[in-house]
Amino acid sequence: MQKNIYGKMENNWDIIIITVNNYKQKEFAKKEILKRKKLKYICKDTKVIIRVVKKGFETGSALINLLKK
Amino acid sequence: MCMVKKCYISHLLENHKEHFTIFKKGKLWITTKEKLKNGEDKTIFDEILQNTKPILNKIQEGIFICCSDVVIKFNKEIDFKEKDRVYVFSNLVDKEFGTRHGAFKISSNNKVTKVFQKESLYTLEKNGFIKNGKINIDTGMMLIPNNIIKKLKNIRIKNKKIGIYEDLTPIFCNKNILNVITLKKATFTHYGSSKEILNIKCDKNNNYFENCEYNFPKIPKNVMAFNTNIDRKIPDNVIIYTAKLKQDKFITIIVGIDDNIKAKGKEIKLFNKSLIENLEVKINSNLSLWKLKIYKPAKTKKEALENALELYYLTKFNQKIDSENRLSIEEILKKEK
Repeated sequence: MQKNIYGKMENNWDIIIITVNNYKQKEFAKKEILKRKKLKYICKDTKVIIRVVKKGFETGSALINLLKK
Repeated sequence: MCMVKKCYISHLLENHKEHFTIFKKGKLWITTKEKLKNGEDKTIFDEILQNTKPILNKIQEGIFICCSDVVIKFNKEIDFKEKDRVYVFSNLVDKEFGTRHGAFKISSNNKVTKVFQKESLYTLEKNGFIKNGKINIDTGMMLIPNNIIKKLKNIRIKNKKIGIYEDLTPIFCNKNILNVITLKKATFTHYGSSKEILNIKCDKNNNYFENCEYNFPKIPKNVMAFNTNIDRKIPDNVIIYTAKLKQDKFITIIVGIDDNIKAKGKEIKLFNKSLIENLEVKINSNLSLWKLKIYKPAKTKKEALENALELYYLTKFNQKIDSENRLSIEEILKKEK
């Protein structure tokens, strides 16, 4: 089983959702996540979703829309 | 619906204008003082993942929501004894803080009975939120188990806008399914304002320099500087940020460490000085420091810093600031390469 610095694989989050304010931040976040996956700081099986939300109140709506998928 | 096993959500409350220095990357990637095992700087993201490890095996499958600028050091003692309940995490602080945060009224068995958002001290006192001068404030962290998520699916989204704290927390509270865990002191770090970030990351002179060269004998105090080569005297208590623009020009933003970038109209202050008399343009009630065109582009980084320092001294000594060829913080960040 693959291990990373945070511990065993089963200790990791199955999904990580990150909300950002703009597309520049989305690109930056993608690179940072990729770096951490390569370094095995995040499990390769952890699904990472990066979502652009313009305002804070859109976060709850984005969350509920994601749950409906 | 994808069956969520354990999902961590990191989210932002609003466009963090007060953090223009990290506009390109977002709060989550602010570096901390710690290092990763491979020598790279740890970010808030790494801290959050590492610090949630002690509770991962204890939580029910569901969603863990967290602000991008909050790090909590969870300890093994935390327990989620009651199943199928929503958990929020609270900090017990002096009552004055309650007016700037979400606040909880808590029963003796750690249930949240009422939630207020940024209410006045009078309202908080009147409604019994304050005990012995202290109040429980929201840290922005929330754990929602799967069975409650299933019910959330049925919520109708009016105008497709739902706030986690404004809308969801009161629903959980009204349904009597909201539990609170009050955190111990020194387990909570908030990277909310520039000053808070500076306090966390500063050196012995209370400064923070990122991607800077510093070549001047006098060391300032309370300065945050980014992408700037400093070869001259700079004032204390400022944030300096140099951006490379698309036409290979440079521009340096300078603001006071205590300036409120979001303040509008008559409330606008730069280096704690009102700008109304100094500017050629009229300041209307919708204008903020974020949108005010006061920064001058330059051909070199050095010249850009000179322009920023000129703006500082013009403002400090109440001199006129022309409106020719100047950009706002908003425009600069959009045009930044």
